[in-house]
Amino acid sequence: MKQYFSYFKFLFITILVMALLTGGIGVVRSLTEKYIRKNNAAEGERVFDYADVLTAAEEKKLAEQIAKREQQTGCDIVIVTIDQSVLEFYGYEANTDSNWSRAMRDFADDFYDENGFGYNRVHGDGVLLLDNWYEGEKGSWLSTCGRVLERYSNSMIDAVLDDVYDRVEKSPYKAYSAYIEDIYRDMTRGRININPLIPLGVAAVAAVIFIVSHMKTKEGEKTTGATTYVQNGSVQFTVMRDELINKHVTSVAYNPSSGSGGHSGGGGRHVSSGGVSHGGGGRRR
Amino acid sequence: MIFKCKNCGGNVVYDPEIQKMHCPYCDGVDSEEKKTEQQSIYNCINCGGVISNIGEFTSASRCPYCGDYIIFDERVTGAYKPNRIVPFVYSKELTKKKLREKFKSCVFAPGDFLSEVKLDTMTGLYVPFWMYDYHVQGRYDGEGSKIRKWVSGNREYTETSVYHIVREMEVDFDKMPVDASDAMPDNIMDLMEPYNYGQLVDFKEEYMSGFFAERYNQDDMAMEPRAVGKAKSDAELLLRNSISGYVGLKSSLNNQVTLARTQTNYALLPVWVYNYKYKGEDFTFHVNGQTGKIVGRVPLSKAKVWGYGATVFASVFALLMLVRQLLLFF
Repeated sequence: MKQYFSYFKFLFITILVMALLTGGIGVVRSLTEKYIRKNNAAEGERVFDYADVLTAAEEKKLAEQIAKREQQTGCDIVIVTIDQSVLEFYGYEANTDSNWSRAMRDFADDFYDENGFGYNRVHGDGVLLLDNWYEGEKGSWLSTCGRVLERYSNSMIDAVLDDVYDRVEKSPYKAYSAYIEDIYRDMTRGRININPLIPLGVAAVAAVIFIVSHMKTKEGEKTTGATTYVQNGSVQFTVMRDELINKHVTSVAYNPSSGSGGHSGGGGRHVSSGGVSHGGGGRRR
Repeated sequence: MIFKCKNCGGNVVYDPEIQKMHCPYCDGVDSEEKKTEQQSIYNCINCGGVISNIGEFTSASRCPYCGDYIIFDERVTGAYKPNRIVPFVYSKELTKKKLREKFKSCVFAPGDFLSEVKLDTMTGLYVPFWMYDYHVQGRYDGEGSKIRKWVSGNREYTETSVYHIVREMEVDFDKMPVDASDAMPDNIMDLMEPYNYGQLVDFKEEYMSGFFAERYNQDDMAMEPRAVGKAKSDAELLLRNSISGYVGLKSSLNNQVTLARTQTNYALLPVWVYNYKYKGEDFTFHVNGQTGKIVGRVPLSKAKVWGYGATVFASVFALLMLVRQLLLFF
């Protein structure tokens, strides 16, 4: 046992130091990191239940949850439910997917802009979930703005919508609560998010290498070579001939390949009628 | 025969550290006196005790009763008289130190593997070797290609030049060694090499006192095929090393290496042997008594390796998850 600990001393100490560091940073973060609200134009309401799918108690609970998460993320988090035709509202005649998307997007963006949302300033950091319950136009739209726009890629927006759709038919409250938690998780977590399977794989490989390298024990290395028993200077090449027999040349087309890079965040970026940059996405359900 | 101390009558042995005969009883140096009136090989020349465990080829041993080192005259004289010997350079203490240094990092070895008690059982043994001198002629005949590539415009060109390669070589091998003891595994003895022939001296019985020894088990004719094999593969490697810069070497069939034996030596070379038993299995370590080179497989506890492996897995995983968590903060 003593030998065991002395063998892994360095590794264990490193883990301990890392754990203390990580825990320490985590604690300090949670204590100190409260964003200070700088936009006083949009104080108050965040949950606008026009479709009346939430009870008064649920609305209150969501509002409390939002208040807490807004401080931690520094982003306004808004929920709007409607039970009306956005297509009619914007004068679209055909109920096509693209018309629906445009109408939902504009409704969400305009609602955000007109109410002056944004935690740091009017039209600043924030996100709005528009959930439409109108028969034939059911679906959600997520409108992102400011830091949320910068952070959210299309796939992240999809992930939030998935979480909402998984729950919304059974319990709208749970769906919207999940949306708030998603925003909190994504906005407080760093950009560098490594898949946990990678550490798992690396650890497995390290363990296998460790075991294999220790299972195979060698008798000893060979320490003689071709010249070990050669009497000093006795190697003589009486013939050393390299004659060219033939030579031929072939050629192939040469085109070096090139790569390309990527960029995440800013999913669905556009400028709203109010001149504010928004991102977002949505789909019918 | 036995070497007795002129001063105290104790058993004088060869001491590798001072490279002289030394009496461990009175500390006398070069105080030895040879006694040879032995009645039979099975009686200790010192105490007369009956030694029953003398092997067929043993030429030097230790009396189990009085502990004196005895040399069997008829196995080191006449046809069995070695002409050369490399005396021990590593004493038992030095060899212990060497083993401890080499294996101190082996955490998987059993606890008493390097203990004083176990290491003390180690014995110094002079192993009989045949050494062959050869004059070798070798020939290589074959084909090889040289490839040159370049880019011009938007085409890549490859030029292949095929050469006919001929080498003829002469070389002398000096004292190609082959152990002449059946008890010693050939592959282990090959790994003991090389011995430094600068310390290969004319045989003297004194060097044997204090150690175990064997006479050759088989004569030089019987052992020669192994030496020929070693000399041939060395010569072929020398030929091959003289050919460079080619790809796709193909040798033709008329390549050959011929050897002519020019001289033979019968020599004793020093080896320390440490036998360690672990879970019913024998682990034998051979240490070159001249250079200190160690050959042997360390016993290891499989359970220990798996346990340590699991710890490595858990630790690396924990560490990487912590790194991941740290990265999430930024």
